[in-house]
Amino acid sequence: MFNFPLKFRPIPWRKTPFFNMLYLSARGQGGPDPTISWTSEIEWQPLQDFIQEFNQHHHRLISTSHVLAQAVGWAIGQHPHLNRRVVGRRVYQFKNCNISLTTRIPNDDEVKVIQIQDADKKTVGQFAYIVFKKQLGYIRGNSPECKDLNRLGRIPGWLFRWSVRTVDWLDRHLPLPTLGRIDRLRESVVLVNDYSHPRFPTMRSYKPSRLPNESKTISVTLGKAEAKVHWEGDRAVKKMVAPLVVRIDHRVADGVQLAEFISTIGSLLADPAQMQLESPSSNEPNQSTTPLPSIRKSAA
Amino acid sequence: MPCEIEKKLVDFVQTVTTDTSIDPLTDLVLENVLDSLLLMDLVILIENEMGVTLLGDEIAPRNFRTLEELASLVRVRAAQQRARDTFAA
Repeated sequence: MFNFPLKFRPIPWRKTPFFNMLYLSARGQGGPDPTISWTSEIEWQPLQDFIQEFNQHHHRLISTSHVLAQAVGWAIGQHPHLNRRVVGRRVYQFKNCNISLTTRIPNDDEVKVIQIQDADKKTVGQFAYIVFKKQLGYIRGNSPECKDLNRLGRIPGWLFRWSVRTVDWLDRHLPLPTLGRIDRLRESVVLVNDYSHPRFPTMRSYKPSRLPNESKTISVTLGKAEAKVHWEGDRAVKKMVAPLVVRIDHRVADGVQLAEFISTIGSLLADPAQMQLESPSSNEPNQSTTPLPSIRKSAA
Repeated sequence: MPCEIEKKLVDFVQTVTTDTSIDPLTDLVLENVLDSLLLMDLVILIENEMGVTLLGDEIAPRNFRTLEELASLVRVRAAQQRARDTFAA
């Protein structure tokens, strides 16, 4: 029931870079904003070619958000010093490499957040399977998370606000365990948003907000691709590129580490096939013979 | 009835994608039309409006490749559900 997502001891103060120490030591409310945001671009065509090729030869349908989530998970795995969060004025390492992915549920106006555990070890097919299973559970209204959200929705407003403020205050000051399925979203260091769908408008800039608790040290957002002219030698060529916006907490990392992290994501998305080389650490459960319960009438 | 299912699916996909060239034989994977959002939209349409429940493993690209194939799957599953209901009764 309880899970402790953080390592017991914080990162020693003497191992904290000077500028991170400055931000950690600054006053909280009304103090300096410890946010670094960096917008870059990724090449769109190799990513889409990979997805199309994959979907033609595999039994699982993948989309951009699955590959993006995998790239972020693998990038966190390659940069473990970013898999940390601030509690009070200390920095703690997460035990596992988990990520959260926002997803739209078609028959619901609300965006849902799906957590993927051990994201640095999963194949894109496993990402797609987990996301698909959760989405289907939300659509049919029979997933445990759905039931938890319904229960939370029945709590009176004043009690809900008071509880959120209390838990957030405790979470900002103590390395709390997580309790229950919804609370387990605090176990992931990064929130991944995919706004690259053709139905969405183009993204010129994006300021990702922080959750009230401080668990999300990083947020990664992909925008819609558009054609741009690039120079290759003396020749102008048209390329599809998509904006990639990454926000990071300066109390945990600095600009150089952020640049390296973005480069890793960019290189993984430029050639997603490289993430398929290693065998998965865990197998997809077989659900082929399980009939799924019918949809709630309210979802119709 | 069979034509009705296909027509409903084609109308729905044409509306969602705003692509009127899609017909029952269009390869949705090859044409890059099918993504996870459209897949979910189709699942909701089939389950809510046609009353057919798909098995988890059936919701895969091979069954959603063309709307004709998807319509056949819906017909098979509808017949299975009717047979099960008859036996249960």
